Amino acid sequence: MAGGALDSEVRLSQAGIFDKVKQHLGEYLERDVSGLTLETPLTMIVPGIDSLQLFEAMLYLEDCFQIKIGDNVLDRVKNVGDLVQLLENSLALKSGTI
Amino acid sequence: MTTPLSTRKILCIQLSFHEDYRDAGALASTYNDGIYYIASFLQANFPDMRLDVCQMLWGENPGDYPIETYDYILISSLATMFWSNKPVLETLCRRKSSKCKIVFGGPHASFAPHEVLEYGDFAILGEGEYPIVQLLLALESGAGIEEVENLCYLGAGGALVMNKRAHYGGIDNPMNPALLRSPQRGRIQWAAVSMSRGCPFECSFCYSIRILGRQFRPKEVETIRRELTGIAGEIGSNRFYVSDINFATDKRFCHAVADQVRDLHYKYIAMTRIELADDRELVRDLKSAGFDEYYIGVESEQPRALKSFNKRCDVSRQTERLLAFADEDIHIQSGIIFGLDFQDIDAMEYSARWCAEARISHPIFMCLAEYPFQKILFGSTQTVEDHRIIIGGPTYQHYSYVGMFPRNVPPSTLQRRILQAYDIFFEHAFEIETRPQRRMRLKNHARCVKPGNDAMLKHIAYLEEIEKPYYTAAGELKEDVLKQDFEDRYGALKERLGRTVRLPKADAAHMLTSLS
Repeated sequence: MAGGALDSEVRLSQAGIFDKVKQHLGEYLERDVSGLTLETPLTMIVPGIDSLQLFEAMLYLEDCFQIKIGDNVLDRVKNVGDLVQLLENSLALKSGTI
Repeated sequence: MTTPLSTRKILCIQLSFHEDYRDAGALASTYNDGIYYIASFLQANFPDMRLDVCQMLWGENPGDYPIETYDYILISSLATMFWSNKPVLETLCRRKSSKCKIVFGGPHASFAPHEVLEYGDFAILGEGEYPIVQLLLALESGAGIEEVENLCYLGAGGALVMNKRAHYGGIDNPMNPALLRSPQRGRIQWAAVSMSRGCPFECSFCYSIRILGRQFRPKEVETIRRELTGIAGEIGSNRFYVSDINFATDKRFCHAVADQVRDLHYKYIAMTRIELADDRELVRDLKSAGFDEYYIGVESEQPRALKSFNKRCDVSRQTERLLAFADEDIHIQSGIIFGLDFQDIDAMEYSARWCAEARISHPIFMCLAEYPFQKILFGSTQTVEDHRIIIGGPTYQHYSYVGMFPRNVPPSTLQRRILQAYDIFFEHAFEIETRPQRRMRLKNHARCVKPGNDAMLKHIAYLEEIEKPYYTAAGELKEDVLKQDFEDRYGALKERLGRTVRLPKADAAHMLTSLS
């Protein structure tokens, strides 16, 4: 289980969050996701991913980053860039920097 | 086919659950396909007919439709949906045109026609495709309705009239995906689809076989593929709930389905029996085609409980088979039944822990009560007597609800224990499951259960109120008092139902009539 080092996660830059997202999604989906870009639609992060898998991958990111990203995350987040932005905002909120 | 019906307007409505009581099992809302099959069959027979579908489970509201303009309104519901939507039904009755006929179908109409007929003209008992076409043709032509199969309505003196009953053979009636068009596109996580109907088994609690029969009737696999691709294209979801009673009844059919849909890369959850685990080759073949989750009627790990349900399975191998599914990384949802006279609190706690140990991902703890008056209406065996069934509230179909008066504990206490069973399960399951994928399925399930359980505190308050006169301080049911009150309250209804008129049954040859 990744995500223990909360303090270091909180201080991550957007690029750092993107790298962590790729790492954690790769772990969870057990697939090579190194080719992801910020523009990749969430529904295409791996071929054939279904809505349930995708939602549960978001739950995994919650655990990894020790944040809560909400039940309707897939309504608001369309691509990896949106997800990174959401995580950045959530981590900043958590650390009290915004 | 050209008939006056081509100019008629029909509204098909699938009722939803009460907004306070969200689907704790995250499952029941997927039983929404029946209304689409009825609408599709009507369209196939009357292509020019104007037909709208209101799917309340997706947040659509019948009040937003031009109710006054429809010639027929068809309504499908489970029992709890019926009771939860009385204001909607009253609105429909108030706003509809005086010539408009309301026809109920689905489980609640099939089991409690006398209740739905308070809001409608007709109830269809069982499969509805053929009967609804027969009914519309009869009404439009002015012919009598006595020949319409599976139809129920009020006759002289308020007595129910049940026309001849029929089951049908072929079911190659494809759903028209366009009927699923919804503003919710992109937000719909599941679509329900039927690949077969019927189940050869005869579990005592199963009402589905009374609707769909015991003859297993698979669809053509090409039809299944067309439906799946059409629905996925329409609603934007590639996950399906296969609403069959027992999907894996015929192994050749299952392999054929797997071969037919493998390249689509969709995912499925299907209802079937635990014996599927014994055929690893089939489990793997289906998994390679996307069948990675099953709803299995485990019901209990207690031999006595399974025997009481006429559940013919090898109890000693239940755990082994569930672990076999886990080995294949297949997720299992399962109903676990509580509320039997011999199930004390220790037994319930044990069952909840056992679910975790057997690596069920998604148990649904429930208390099954029949709908009342099934014996008098249909000659059915009832394991819960009429007087012990709570009428007028959520009952048999709403997972995790207590809808009866148990003998050894008040219903509110049983309901609290059911909620506690979830806590026990999750605590133990998170200790056992280590793979992130299985932990996230548990986390997802826990998030689905929580709001439903929170709302069930309201149900507990309701139970506490109605149970007061019927239990001793020690929690024993005062059955004589309950029985007498039941007679006082429902004696007249019982007498009326006892006068039900049954028209001659269909003959055997007709029962094999194909729908298509």
